[in-house]
Amino acid sequence: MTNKSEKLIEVVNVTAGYGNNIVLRNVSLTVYSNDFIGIIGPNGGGKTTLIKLLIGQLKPFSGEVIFYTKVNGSLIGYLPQISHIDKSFPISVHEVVLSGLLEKKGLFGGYSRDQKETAFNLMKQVGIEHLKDKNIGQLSGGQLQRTLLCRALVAEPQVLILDEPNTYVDSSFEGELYEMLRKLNDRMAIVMVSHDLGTITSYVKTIACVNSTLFYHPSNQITNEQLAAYNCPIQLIAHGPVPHTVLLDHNLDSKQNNQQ
Amino acid sequence: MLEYLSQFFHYSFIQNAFFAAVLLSVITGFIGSYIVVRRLVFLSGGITHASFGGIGIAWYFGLNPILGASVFSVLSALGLEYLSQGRTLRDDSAIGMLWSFGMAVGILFVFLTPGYAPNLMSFLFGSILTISKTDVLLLLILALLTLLFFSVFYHPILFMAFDIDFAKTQNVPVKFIGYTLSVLIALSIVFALRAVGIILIISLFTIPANIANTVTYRFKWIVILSSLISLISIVTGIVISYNLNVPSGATIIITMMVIYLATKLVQQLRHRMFRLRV
Repeated sequence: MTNKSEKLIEVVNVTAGYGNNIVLRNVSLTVYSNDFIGIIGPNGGGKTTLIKLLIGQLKPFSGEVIFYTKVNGSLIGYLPQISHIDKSFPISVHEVVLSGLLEKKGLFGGYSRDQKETAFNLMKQVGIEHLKDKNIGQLSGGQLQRTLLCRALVAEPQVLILDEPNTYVDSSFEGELYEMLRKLNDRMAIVMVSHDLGTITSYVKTIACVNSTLFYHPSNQITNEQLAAYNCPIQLIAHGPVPHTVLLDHNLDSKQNNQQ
Repeated sequence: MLEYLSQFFHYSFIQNAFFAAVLLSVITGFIGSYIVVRRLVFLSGGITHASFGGIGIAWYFGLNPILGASVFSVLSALGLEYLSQGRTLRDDSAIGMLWSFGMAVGILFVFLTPGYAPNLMSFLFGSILTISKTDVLLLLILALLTLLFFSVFYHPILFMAFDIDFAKTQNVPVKFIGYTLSVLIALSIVFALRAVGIILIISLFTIPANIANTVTYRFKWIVILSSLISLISIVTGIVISYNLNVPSGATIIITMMVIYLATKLVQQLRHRMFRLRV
């Protein structure tokens, strides 16, 4: 079942950070075509830095990030943290989705009819076609997240990279999102940063613990002891017949209820 | 009325002012909309004031003040763009320092220059009615460059302004576009200085775009509408200034502010009406 033949992105022995500040040390990770990797770790541990390396936005101090781009289709679809988006920016849902085809379109000229159709069909699939001409400021959290997901998917990427897609969205959308991702995983690799450990373990295939260093855990079953060994000071997880989370942090109680 | 207009336009300084108004409207329509949606108003204020350093130095050495201002504002715009890409210093602090440093240099050199400096006032408070043919030509070149750059790179500019990280994943040349826009912002500020002056210029770039944004959410329409609003305000400002013999910079900005408040008022009333009907 696990056909790990095709490498898409390879992070080799990378040390990275900003200015004089080293955030990640000697990190290695390979993304294969059928992967669904959950990235967990404490705040400030370097999850976002790792994402920036994976989308080619940050150059490592040492080591190497290798991208195995195929000729047709784009390599990376990226969904940033929603807090990163300026909601008063004058841009429509349709325009945001089309921005995902910018590389295909090229710098000059407009979008072709085909490209506009591709974007519209995807919006239909995700259920936001009626919001086409709305400004992003008029959307709910879930609707905005769907829009950003369309933008990430519209160029049919080989790797979908999501940075905390479950923040600021209602729980019904969260469930829907994970089901969507599970289906998408048949076609593309997925790398997802998440705080929501309970959900992440029931959907992802493997786990990467990032806290300055990276420990790759080749299954979605992870124990408290392993987390401690990985130097990953985060909430406890327990496995039972139904995936659920045992939480230390009272803030996350509501999420536990939503789950099951 | 027609007779009055033809008499009005008979003066070459009025003609220059009118051409300048049209060109300024195009420039501020693009650059102002970009500054507003990217939230670069404070940065633009910094560049504006930093350029006074260049004016002072050019004044002292008997050079063209616009040249001095251009050098200062382009360098400070590029410097700030570089800092914002590297993140070694807090952006707003860097802008604040540059802002006052430029003014300090300018004041020092103007003070050192012997004699009274009446033309200097036109840089501080502006006067579109004293704009020269050369100024109009410079504005024309800048307006064409701006129009060209925005038409060619419309989508990359818009998507980069919206989400630069995502734009990078789409292979947008963010450095090239970022630096070019910085230079365009800096030059627009300098060339617009003659019209409304350092102290009032920021409103020329911000008020029309904000008026337009209350009516439309499309960037394209914000650009077009704010250009029109600029044109109406500048021409109205010129007419009032000419007839009442008061500074044109002030009448232009006050006209813009009146339009802004009127738009807001209409918007509020419409909201009320809508709520009553529901």
